[in-house]
Amino acid sequence: MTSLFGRLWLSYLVVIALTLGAAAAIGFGVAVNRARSVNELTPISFARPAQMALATGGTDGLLRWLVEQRHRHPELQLYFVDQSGRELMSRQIGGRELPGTNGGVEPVVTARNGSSYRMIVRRTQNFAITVGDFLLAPEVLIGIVLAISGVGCAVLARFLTRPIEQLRTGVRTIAAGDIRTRLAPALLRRRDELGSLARDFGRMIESLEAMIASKEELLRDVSHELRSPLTRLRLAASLAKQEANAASESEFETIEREVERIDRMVGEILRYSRLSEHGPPIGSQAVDLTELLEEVVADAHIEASEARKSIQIVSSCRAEVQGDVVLLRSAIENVLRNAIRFASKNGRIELRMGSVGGLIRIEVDDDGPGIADQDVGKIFMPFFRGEASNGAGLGLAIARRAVLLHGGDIRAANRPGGGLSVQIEVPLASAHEAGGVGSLAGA
Amino acid sequence: MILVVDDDVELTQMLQRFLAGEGLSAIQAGTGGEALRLLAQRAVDLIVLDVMLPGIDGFEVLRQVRERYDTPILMLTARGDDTDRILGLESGADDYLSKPFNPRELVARIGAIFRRMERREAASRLPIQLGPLTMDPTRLGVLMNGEPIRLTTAEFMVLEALVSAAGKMQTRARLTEVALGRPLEAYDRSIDTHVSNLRRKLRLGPDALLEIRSIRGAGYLLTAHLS
Repeated sequence: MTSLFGRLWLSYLVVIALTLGAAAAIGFGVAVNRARSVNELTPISFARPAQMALATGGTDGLLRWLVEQRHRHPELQLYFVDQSGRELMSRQIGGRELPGTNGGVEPVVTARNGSSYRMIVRRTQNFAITVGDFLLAPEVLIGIVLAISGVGCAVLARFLTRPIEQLRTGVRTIAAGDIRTRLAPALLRRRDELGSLARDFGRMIESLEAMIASKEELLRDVSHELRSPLTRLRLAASLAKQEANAASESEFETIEREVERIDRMVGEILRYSRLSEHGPPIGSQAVDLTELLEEVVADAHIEASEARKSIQIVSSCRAEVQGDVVLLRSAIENVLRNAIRFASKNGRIELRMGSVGGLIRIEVDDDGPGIADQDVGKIFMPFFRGEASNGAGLGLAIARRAVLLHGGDIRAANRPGGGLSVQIEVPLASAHEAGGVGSLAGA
Repeated sequence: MILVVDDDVELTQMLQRFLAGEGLSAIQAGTGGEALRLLAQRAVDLIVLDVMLPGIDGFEVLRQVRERYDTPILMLTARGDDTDRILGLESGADDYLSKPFNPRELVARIGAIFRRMERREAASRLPIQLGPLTMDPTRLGVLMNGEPIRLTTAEFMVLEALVSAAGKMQTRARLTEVALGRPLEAYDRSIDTHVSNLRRKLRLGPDALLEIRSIRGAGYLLTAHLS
């Protein structure tokens, strides 16, 4: 019972069980006391007050006292028999004798006018606590109460924990990098503390998103502005090289190489930020993924063979999705290029494509070093592997955005035999219509 | 004579000097309007056209140039924007280079376009006829069912390569060599854009008499359904 739900449910149930137990104990104690006090009563104990009532109020007084006693001791019956053997209210004498009535000595009460009555005290009901005294057997009753409160507590605990669960789902999707996540409207409408927590949380996401957006905007603007000076820098370097002597050749080559690097980074940053603009209009046409995959592989062969690595499509299937062919191509291409980059020397990259449910899954496996387990989720973040000389380390981040824009998902995992496996999932044509792009663009 | 169209004067001046150093003479234009005026006055062999221009943008300039001239055009597209590149090639550019470009790469591309033009001039001047299609290599003219079709140099070269080897698959690498005068690079889809332009302009398809078929991952093949 480590879940909040379990703990709440259990503690409510324990409280109810304890309350029930205490109530039962108190009730039992009261009943036992009462039974004991009744059992201790003897006819003698009634004689004095009866005598008093008769002496002061006559038979009327005695009758009033009698009514009073009947309320107080419903289990007892008091009879008054005169000398002629007639009962005061002409009742038949019944019931059992009290335990204290030893020897049949019955008290006699005398009125002022001299008439006297024999007082007979009988028990008409047994006061011992029996099963019949309760509507149901106590164990059955307790069982029913516990069952009902068990269900009730479960409902209550669920009522309290469900919004927390919803909040958690939201937090998780955001942690997975989908900052555009919005919490369930039902949660936001709640008027209790959990509702305000959810609303505060929503505001937090919005300001986070704004902060991230402004950071990306800055990055994009800087990159954009860098292009013109970079072009001029390249040209100036080339001009200088044209006019320079052989001695400075290698320096100029370094300049050109470094400019080229900055240039590639700028390109990637711009491509990435173009994908992240709010609700980017993505083209929607039928895309033959089978063909696209083969084209990308054919293209990548040039790069792979230069690095003495091989690419193979192990399995494929017919697959058509709705979407933007340029974005889908860049998603597959970036994942594949990453695999080429990290595959071992003379290594092999394997591709598999298949349909799973309403999804098309493309798996790209390399035989490289893989990734530290705690970092597996981070490789789709910008600049995560930016240390390598090729590009800015935005390739996988670009791939992720492109896939998300198609209502799909992208994941990475270490392969059991070593190497990294990246899986791209894109909804098939029909499934894509319902969610995906529309809801994202509207978010 | 190369016409460089870019609003960055500092850049065009340096480019002019750099091209001169490579033995290429160039003139410059800061706007699309100026470029069109210069085209009317001077004999221009090639245009280097930036997509981002003040006033009328590069694509519009490209369209207006193509209405009147067959001059080869090399587009300078924004780095990181694939749609610009595709749009450029679809609008009739012969090749593209993303900006910031490597000046030596620019010279190589210019050289490739010139070599291709020389090769075309050296090639047979005899018209080619295949079914409803007539090609005149001298004037880059193409007639489809007697109707003239306007093709860019790159498109013409691709079509010529496919027609002269009709029924045989041409690899993307070979088509890139022939049409663009340079080797196929990784992730370079230029040739595919040229082929899809051809299909659109000539209305080639499975139902037509001529069809350009894609051989996935390998290349293209022109087939004729002639009776």
